[in-house]
Amino acid sequence: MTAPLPRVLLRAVATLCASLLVLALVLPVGTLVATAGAAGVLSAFAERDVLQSLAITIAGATIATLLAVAGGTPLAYVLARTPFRGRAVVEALLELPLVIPHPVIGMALLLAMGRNSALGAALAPVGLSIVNSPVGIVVAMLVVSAPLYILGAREAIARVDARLESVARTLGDDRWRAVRRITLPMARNGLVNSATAMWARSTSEFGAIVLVAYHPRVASVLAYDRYVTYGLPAALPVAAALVCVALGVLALVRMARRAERA
Amino acid sequence: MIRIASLVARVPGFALQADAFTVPAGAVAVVTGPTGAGKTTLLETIAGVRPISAGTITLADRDVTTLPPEARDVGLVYQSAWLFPHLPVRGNIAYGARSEAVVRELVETLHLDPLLGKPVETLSGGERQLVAIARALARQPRTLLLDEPFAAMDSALRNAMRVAVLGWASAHGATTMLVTHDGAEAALPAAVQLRVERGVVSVTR
Repeated sequence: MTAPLPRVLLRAVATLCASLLVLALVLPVGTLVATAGAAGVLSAFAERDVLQSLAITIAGATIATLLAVAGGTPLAYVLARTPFRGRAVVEALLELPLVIPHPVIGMALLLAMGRNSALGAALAPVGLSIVNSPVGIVVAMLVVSAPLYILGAREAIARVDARLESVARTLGDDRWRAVRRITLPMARNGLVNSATAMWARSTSEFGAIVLVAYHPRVASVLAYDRYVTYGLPAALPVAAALVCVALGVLALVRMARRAERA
Repeated sequence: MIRIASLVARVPGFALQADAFTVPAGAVAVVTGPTGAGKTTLLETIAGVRPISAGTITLADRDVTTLPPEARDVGLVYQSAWLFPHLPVRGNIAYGARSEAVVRELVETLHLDPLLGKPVETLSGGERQLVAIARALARQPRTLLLDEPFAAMDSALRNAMRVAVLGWASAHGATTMLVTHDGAEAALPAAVQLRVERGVVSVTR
C-alpha cells in the first residue's frame, strides 16, 4: 500500500530541507579542510606558532570549562530546584551573553576589568591583568560560554525528579550527599554534554578574545591574523588545523560516551 | 509514636491542616480520603521533605519539627516507588541500610532474591513497590510512612506483603502510617483511623 500523496510530498520536502541544512553546515568547513589539504594541515601542525596557539586555546577552554563546572553546577542546582524572587532575572542575565555580539562583550570586559577600571587597578599589584594575557583569554571564554553550561546543567538537573532526593534524605543522606549520590549521577549525561558544548564554544571564541587579548594568540585569532596580514591561503592551514583538533576532541568525547554505555 | 499538633502546610493550590492526633508507639494508623485530598502531603510533612507553616511534629518522643528528613528516622514509601534508576535493585535496597544483615533478612522476607541483579527499569509496578518497601525498611526507621505501597500488586501478593510488612514493622517497634484506597486495608484494626478531605485531616477513630 502506498502512502497518500501529501504525506509522500511532505516527506520529500522534509528530506530536501534537512539535506540542504546539513549541506549548509558541512560544505563550508569541508571545503576549507579540503582546500588546505592534508599537507597544509600537517605543515600547520609543524609550525611553532600554530602549536602554541592551539595549546593556549585548548588550555584556556579547559580552564574556563572547569571553572564553569565548579561554580556553575551549584548555581544550576539552585536555579533548577529553588524558587526564589528574582530567579527569572538571574536566568535572563545568564542568557544575555548568548545574544549579545561577542565583540560587545569584549568591550564590556575591557571597561569592567581593563587597566583603567577599578577592578583592573586592584588586580594589577598582584600581577593579574586581563589585557593581552592568558587570564583575559580564560575570562573572555568563561563569560561568553559559561551560560551554555549553566543553562544546560539547569535543564539536566531539573529532569531529575526532586522526590528522588527526598527519598534519599529519608534514607539518611543530607542534602549535599543526596545531590552527590542521586542527582549528579542521574544528570551526568546532560552535565557532560553541556560542558562539552561549552568547551567547544570556548575553543572557537573570537569576538571577545580579540579585543581583550590579541596576544598570546588563540587559534581563532592566529587564523584571523594570518588572514588579514597574508591573505586567505596563509590562513587556511591554521584554520583547517583548528577544525581538525575540534573534530578530534568531539569524536573522542563521543567515543568515550559510547564506550561507557556499552 | 507520631504526634501532630496544629499542623499547617501550604502547597500550591491548597493548605493541609491537622489539629491534633497521636499514633501510639508501634501502632498502625490508616489514612483514607479521596485522590488529591492531601494524604501524600501529610506523609511528606511528617517525613520533613515538605516544609510546614505552623504546628509541631513529634516522632518517637522527639520534637522533629525543625529537623531535616535525615534526622527524623523515618521511612517513606511513595505509591510510585521512586527507585533510583541508576542503581540496581540490590543497590536500591542497600542504599540507606543499617547493615548487610538487615538487607539479607528483607530480601528473604519479601522474596526479592530473583530481582536482586535486575536493573530497576525492567521491574513491574508491583516489584518496584516491593523494592521501595525493602529500601525503606532496611533503614530500620522508628516511623514508617507508606503511601499506597501495595497498590500495584495483585490481591494475593498485596495481602501477603501487607502481612509481611506490617509484621516486620511491628516486630521492629516502628510506628506506621498507611495511606490506602483499598477497602481491606482501610478496615484494618488500626489504632487510629484518619480521614483527609480537601486538606483537612480528621480522626475518625
